[in-house]
Amino acid sequence: MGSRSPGVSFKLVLLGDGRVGKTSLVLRYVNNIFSDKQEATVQASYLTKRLVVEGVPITLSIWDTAGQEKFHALGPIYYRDADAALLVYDITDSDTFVRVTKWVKELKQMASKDIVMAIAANKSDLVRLKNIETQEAVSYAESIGASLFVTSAKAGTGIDDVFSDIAKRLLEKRKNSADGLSPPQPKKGILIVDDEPEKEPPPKCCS
Amino acid sequence: MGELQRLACLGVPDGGAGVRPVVWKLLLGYLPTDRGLWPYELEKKRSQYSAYKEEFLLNPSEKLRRIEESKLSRKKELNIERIGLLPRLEVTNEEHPLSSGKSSLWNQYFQESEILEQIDRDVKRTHPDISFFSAKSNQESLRRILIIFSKLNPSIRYVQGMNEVLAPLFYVFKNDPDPSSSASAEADTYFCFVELLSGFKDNYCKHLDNSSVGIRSTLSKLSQLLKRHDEELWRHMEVTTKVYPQYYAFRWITLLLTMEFSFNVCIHIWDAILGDPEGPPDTLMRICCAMLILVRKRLLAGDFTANIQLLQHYPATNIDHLLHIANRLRGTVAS
Repeated sequence: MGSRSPGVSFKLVLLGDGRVGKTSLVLRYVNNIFSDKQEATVQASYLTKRLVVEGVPITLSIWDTAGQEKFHALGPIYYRDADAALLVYDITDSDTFVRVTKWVKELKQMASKDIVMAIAANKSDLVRLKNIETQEAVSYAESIGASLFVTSAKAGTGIDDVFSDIAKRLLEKRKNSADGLSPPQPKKGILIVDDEPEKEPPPKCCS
Repeated sequence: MGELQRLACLGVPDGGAGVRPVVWKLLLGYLPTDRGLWPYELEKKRSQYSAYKEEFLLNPSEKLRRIEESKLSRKKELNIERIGLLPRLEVTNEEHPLSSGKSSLWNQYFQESEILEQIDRDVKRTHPDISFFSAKSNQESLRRILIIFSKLNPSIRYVQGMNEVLAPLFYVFKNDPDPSSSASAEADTYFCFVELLSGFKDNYCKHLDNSSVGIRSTLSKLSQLLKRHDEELWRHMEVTTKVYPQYYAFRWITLLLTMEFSFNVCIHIWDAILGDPEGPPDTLMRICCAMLILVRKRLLAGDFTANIQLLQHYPATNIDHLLHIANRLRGTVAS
């Protein structure tokens, strides 16, 4: 601690409604732990993760923000100069997807113009209770130039993918701007699904 | 009372007589200083709490059923001879569950269900490592207190983390060796929670965030206090490494340090917070400042990342020493 980290560093902010699993995602990613009883976040917590992308050592500084509306007013300080935003929703709760779209609007107005965005469709282990069609979310992600990943902090799936995708795109962007090239076209939305943790069960006879 | 405050600041002894519940109730002004008034005062407050439970915790169909019941019993008295007719529950259009009328009890009920769900989830996540808080009946008590608070304080309602502030009070009162006090712990906790929050609730009000009494101004008070007592550390924190109080002290302040130390240690710190004659808000501020001064060497050697991580995961520490430092800052919190 305290020493300057080598390579490139980027600032990433996690945004999303309360209890969609932001803290769980980031704790799984950084410390590879998961708890069913994660307490509510009332103050953004700061974590760092080192990774290597295409031979380049990268440090991600991650702000895991609080989800409850009350804490919203304190949000801008965390995303204002962020290089990337990971927007998280809970696949079993369609209100949390609506909240993602609101965050995107706010980011477009307030954050850096070329902020890299990704969406995590979290809690994929609860696919039985799914309330939002993945395809709908993919189309939305495509429309805002974000990538969408299906994740489960509980099962530990999709998480490395979403963070390394963000890191790759950040690195690419930095290279392009260092080379003095025009910024790349916004990427098309892509969907990356890790191993399905749970098969969708056959419809039960319920008439 | 002054003597009691002085003693409480030194820490209420854990063993023996189990006086902490009574001490905290006195310090919070829930119990009057005249002991002769206790039975009357407690009786009054506890029955008031029962009335709150009646009013706020019944679901609409139960409420309507009770209204109908009282109507019916009146009718029965009037038409005692008309036996044989089955009484029909009269549900007015306004009170139908599917009615969208604003005054519909059901409409209010559904609007509030989101908050109830939030309270429910947070209560279940309160100190899951302590068996006391996993007990169903204790979770129910915490839940009821938070619901009643949210209904009686519509400008704050429920803010995440209130469960953490509630937990030490309920734990202390429920474990009162006097069985009659323990049995009424829920009601007593409710009123003490209200007392305690009266000094802090502006921090929870979103619309006060930018005012002179909201959380931002509380955070800048801490910053001023540090500057006054340790300008070198203040400069390193806020000018050199840009580690602002918002990043670490937001939780210290809004949750009254409940998440920074182990539960038992937190209860000791609360003895001082509740007992200090300067009052809980200023005392809390001095303790927060002392927490920074206590780790100043590490902070002065640290960069942004190291310092934020140190303060977001505050190291285990000698509490008497911490409170001693906080004591030396007495009388200096800017108002």
